Amino acid sequence: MPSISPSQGVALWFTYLRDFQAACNSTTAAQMDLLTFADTSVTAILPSAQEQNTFLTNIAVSPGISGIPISALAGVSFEGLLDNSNPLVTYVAVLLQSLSDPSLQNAASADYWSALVSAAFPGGSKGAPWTVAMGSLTSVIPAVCFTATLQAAVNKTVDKATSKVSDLIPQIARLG
Amino acid sequence: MTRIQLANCASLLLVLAGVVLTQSSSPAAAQTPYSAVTYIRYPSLQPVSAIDISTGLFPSDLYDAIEKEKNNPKWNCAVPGFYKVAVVDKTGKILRNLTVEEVVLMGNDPSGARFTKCQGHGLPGEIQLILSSDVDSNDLLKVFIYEDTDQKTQISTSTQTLQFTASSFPAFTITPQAAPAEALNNGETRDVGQLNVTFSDSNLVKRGPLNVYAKSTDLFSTDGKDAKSAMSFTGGIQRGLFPRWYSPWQLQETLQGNQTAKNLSAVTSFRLSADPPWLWTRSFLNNKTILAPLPPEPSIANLYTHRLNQLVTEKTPLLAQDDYSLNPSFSWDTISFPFTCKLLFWERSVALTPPAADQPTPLPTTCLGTEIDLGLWYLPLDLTASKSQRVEGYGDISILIPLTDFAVASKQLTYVTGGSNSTKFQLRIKYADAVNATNNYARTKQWTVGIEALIAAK
Repeated sequence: MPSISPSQGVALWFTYLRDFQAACNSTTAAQMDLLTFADTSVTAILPSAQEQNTFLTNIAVSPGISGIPISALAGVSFEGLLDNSNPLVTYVAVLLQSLSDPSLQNAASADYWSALVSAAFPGGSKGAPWTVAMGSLTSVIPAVCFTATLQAAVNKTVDKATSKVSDLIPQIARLG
Repeated sequence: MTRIQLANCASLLLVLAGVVLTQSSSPAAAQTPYSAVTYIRYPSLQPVSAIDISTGLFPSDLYDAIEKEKNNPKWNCAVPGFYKVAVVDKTGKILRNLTVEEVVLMGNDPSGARFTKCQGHGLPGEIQLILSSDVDSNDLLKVFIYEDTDQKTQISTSTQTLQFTASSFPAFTITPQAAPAEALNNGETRDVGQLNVTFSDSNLVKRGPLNVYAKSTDLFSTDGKDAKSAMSFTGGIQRGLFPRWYSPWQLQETLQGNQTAKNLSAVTSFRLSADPPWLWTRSFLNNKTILAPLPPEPSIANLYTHRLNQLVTEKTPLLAQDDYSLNPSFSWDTISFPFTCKLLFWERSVALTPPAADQPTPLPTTCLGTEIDLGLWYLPLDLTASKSQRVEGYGDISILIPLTDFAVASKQLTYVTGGSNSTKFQLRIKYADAVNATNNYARTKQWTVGIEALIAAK
């Protein structure tokens, strides 16, 4: 199969989250918006062992994640559960690195992680590189998970001279 | 949810104490890409020992190594030959190699097909190496990833030694309770003390084709003639039947009776259960009148019983030494009636429809609720006085009144109506027409009232 683009990686994470929502086999979960579902505790939606087993069986089929023990469902949100096997931070990092200043696009992951945001996206939040990056993020992250409020906060981080990539990416991946 | 029942017997009971001893593990944030775990695999319910590799961990040396190799046509992260898992000593010296039986790439690609190679960019996010070798929980392990199947050029290794962590632990619960005017087997009643004891281990064998489990549910009484006294020890195997449904079949052996063993039976059972698809009901079972977000749980069990001892009383006649029964049952929890919030708990409102995109939906509030259990014992070999085959139906219904946020009683019952995000209280009024299979199908009809604390699991 052809390689998966960085933006497809982020989109795939949200496809997985929607698959989790359907796998709950719960009308309550099905009617939640994606952000509420992501933040909801697994055991709040699936209180009994039978429901948790059903969920684990369903996600083994779609999105194809079969390595989660039932004990891992306690005390974790659906986003946290998905992040354990597929960290959203990684897919946001891959997308942003691909749109960063060319000098950082092929950097080792640790070097990119510790780079200054001003080096990755010269010109701050109004600069062309970040405008393109923000456009890409908003096109693949559902609006409910990347609200105007979060976008404004992210822009502030981009404009702060001392901000590192390690500050920026987790802020986006926290959703809201 | 962990549910601690505070009172549940004959009108209102004094509860002496409740002790719950369980262990559970929660996933720790992945700091290193490598970990070793034993767990039950879905949907087969097969226990496995596996090495978990977080290929999507960013930043990490492993992530960078895969980025370099992803376009190498000779390298394929889905092939066991590129991995080595070894038991090492404390100095890191290899003592023996373990066999990697299978490499599982977690997740589907954008087309919905399972990943068959490492795509790079953190996809797939996780790989599991399923081991076919026996490993002791004290063994120290090291994982190596190579560029070639000759295992000459190493591209990554676990910098620290690993040890297996179990994903399930034995659970043991003891709950003492007082039961006034309890019915005895001789037809009398008296006040007794009772001790509920439960034990379970859902994964006795850490690697194999079948899930092996054991459990025990006992109620010991201060009076050996207590009609409710019961002991039940179970061992069994199970495996998933359908690939797309949680549908375990179980074959199990149970030794059950009362605490004096005057009733004692060995029961061999074959059981099938499932959670049916439920999303299709959302249009008519998720509204302001009724909220039933989760499906009922049907099951059917075939049981062969060999009775070693029988206690014959006025209510429990002598049964055949060998018996067969068919036990279909049906359990439906989490049904509530949102309109009652307005009637009884006017400080709260229920949101049932998703709001606009930028406004998160609050969790649906549970108002007056109910739970139903129904079942049937069909006993074809056990004839009644009129020589017809015996059938014993049973069931119970509970009315659940949430006390947390119970506005009308907030001044009188400050503690239970206050609650918090982690602890909530509810009143359970239950009517049960029960048949005790462990006590010669003795029938009891009983109203019970109790206050339950619902504690969110950590």
